[in-house]
Amino acid sequence: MDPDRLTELYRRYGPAIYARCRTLLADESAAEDATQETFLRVQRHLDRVPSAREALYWIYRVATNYCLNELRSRRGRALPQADLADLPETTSEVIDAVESRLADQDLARRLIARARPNVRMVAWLYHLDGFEQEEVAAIVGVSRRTVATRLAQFSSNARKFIRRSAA
Amino acid sequence: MNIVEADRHLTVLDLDELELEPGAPEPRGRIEAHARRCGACAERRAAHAALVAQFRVSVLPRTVELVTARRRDRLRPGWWAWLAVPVAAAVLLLVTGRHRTGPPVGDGADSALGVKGGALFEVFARRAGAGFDTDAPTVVRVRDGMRLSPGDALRFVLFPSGLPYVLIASVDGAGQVNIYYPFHGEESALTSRQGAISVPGSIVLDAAPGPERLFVIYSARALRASAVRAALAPAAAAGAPAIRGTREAPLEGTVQSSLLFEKEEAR
Repeated sequence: MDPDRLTELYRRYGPAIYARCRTLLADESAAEDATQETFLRVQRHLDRVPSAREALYWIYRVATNYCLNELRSRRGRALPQADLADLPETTSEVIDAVESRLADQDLARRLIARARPNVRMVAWLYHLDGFEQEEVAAIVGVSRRTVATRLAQFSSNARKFIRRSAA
Repeated sequence: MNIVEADRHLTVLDLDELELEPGAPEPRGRIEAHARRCGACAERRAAHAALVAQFRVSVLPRTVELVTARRRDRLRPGWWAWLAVPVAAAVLLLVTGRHRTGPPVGDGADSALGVKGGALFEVFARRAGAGFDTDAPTVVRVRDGMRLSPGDALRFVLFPSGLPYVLIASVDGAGQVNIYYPFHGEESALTSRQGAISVPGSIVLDAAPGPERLFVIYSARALRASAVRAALAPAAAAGAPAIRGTREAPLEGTVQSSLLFEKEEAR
């Protein structure tokens, strides 16, 4: 690929990659680095894909994976207890409250950062980006059934974690 | 089958597709209709548009050449191996040389190891007065000797030198030595990354006219800012010709690169 074509692709897809990385990392400088890295990893695919949607699927897959790994490597900060202090007192109420708690984006981010690598991306796309399971499957490149299984694993582990934290 | 329902909340895919294909009437109509009804999605759309604008105005001009260079480097898989030997030898020489000579780095010894004109960093200037609402080019790469204006904001991109610590200093036309990175720091910053680093934040130029010379100083261990200030103080005190002519700070065991710009009078 000649440099002009590379520049053209960067101009076209850079904004989407940057917006993605900035949202995931919440850090301007880190997002710039992640944007360059993601672009260099996907540029060959971007040159070949037949549609904008397919290009975006590549971008979401690679950028999300890269940024979540970055977040993971940054982790080591404990989950602030204040985030969980007002949970319901009984176990059943805690379990019932988990799904609605995941609507709390900050808490959801923290829980996702703790999840296993193959669960993290699926959970982020579903809980934070608001994609349907079919769309998550298309982006990640797995079946919808696999997406459902990974989401169930995530919810189960989130429940356990919140229950432990509330105990 | 289009799995996007008519009135579901907007996803990042909706917003990005609209950005990539602004002429497509179907998604635009659906997105605008939904955003009128849903305050949360209208906010999400505005936030997304702001990030897109930020990339186009601020990030793209600074990074487009960097991306091309990084790709070029990746296409040459063998060069790191060739470079590794001299870099390792240089690092070893610096480390053993410092141990042998005794004084810590930055105490004013005069055996600086300089890389003149080496591509250890690049500087980008966002010109004063250029706003986000203009299509005019607002960010330029600063070349040696370039004229800049008060209010211009500088950002730095650092390239690896083989040494782990870095500090950016400057000597300006008012005779001041400034530490730009770490900003007002006490000593060099540790850089553990292999690739180029975009230094966070920017430096806004003040109204003092005249030459200003930037020094990027890599070292095997942290340099004290006070030692860098002392090393650059003679050039700062000697005035404009010395600032223009001093291309490296006399600091032992360092790898340096330097760039000069001329600050115009405020209009």
